[in-house]
Amino acid sequence: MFMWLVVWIGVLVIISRPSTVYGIMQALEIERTADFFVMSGFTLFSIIIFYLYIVVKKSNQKVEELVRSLAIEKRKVKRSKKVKK
Amino acid sequence: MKSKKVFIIIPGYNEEKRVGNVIKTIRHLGFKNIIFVDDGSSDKSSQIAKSAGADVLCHIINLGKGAAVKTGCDYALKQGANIIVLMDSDGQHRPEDIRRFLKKLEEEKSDIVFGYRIIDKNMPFVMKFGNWFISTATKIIQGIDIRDTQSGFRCMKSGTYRKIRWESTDYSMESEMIANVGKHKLKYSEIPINTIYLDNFKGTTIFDGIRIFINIIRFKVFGRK
Repeated sequence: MFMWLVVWIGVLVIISRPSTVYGIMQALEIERTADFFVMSGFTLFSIIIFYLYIVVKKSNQKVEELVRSLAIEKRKVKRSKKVKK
Repeated sequence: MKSKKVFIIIPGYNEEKRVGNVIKTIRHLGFKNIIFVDDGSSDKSSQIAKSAGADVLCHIINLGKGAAVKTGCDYALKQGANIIVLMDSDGQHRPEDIRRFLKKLEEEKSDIVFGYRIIDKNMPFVMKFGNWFISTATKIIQGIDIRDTQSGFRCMKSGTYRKIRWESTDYSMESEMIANVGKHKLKYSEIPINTIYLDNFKGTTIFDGIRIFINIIRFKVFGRK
């Protein structure tokens, strides 16, 4: 949530005062503010997509581990109940 | 071989029509340690497998063949398995071949035995092409010459499983197993198996084939284990 707040505040600042990014634009040799917007937006979205890919992959691994250990534990419990009877 | 604990792992997803017969046939052959891993089936696969005499492990959701086989193998290890046999639940593999796998494993002192499907007119063309393509890709990229990289009928020592334990949850597990066999320089052998094609629309699809091909490259580039 905090990350999105920073992103939106950044966007608002750049829109209302484009001069704030002139320094960065000069360093990157970008002439138009619109070009800077497109390029930084593309970079930001690429980072976000990669980040989400990692998050989803990690979640999938956790779900897999959980489902697999549940299957084994459930079977163990059934076996031990059978032995007790 | 008789003193060794042999476990048969059968993963399955909605296979209520055939899994019962497969398990019964295996039991008739004298194998008592049969583990059926129900990979989130919505039909009665679990109940049928249980009544046929298998030890049933249930995934509450569908994860894929790789995950199901891994669950079965992990459980078999906990039960003290010495040898693990993997086979499909759809009846395409002949349980009678299990003894040939065990014989080959012992005679050739292999770490793992791969079954390869005999290419004949009964094999669907898409499957023939897919198997040729993936096997050739494995040979070129991984440097391992295996006739049928996608056959699910395999037999290995429990120590081998510990070394080649895969991370793939889908059909790429077969390729990852091979990649890990190559990486650990394990001794492998192959035997021909008869296959009965009962259902052309189940199992590996063209999209699975593409994913497997990408993964073969991934296993080579990034390595595993």
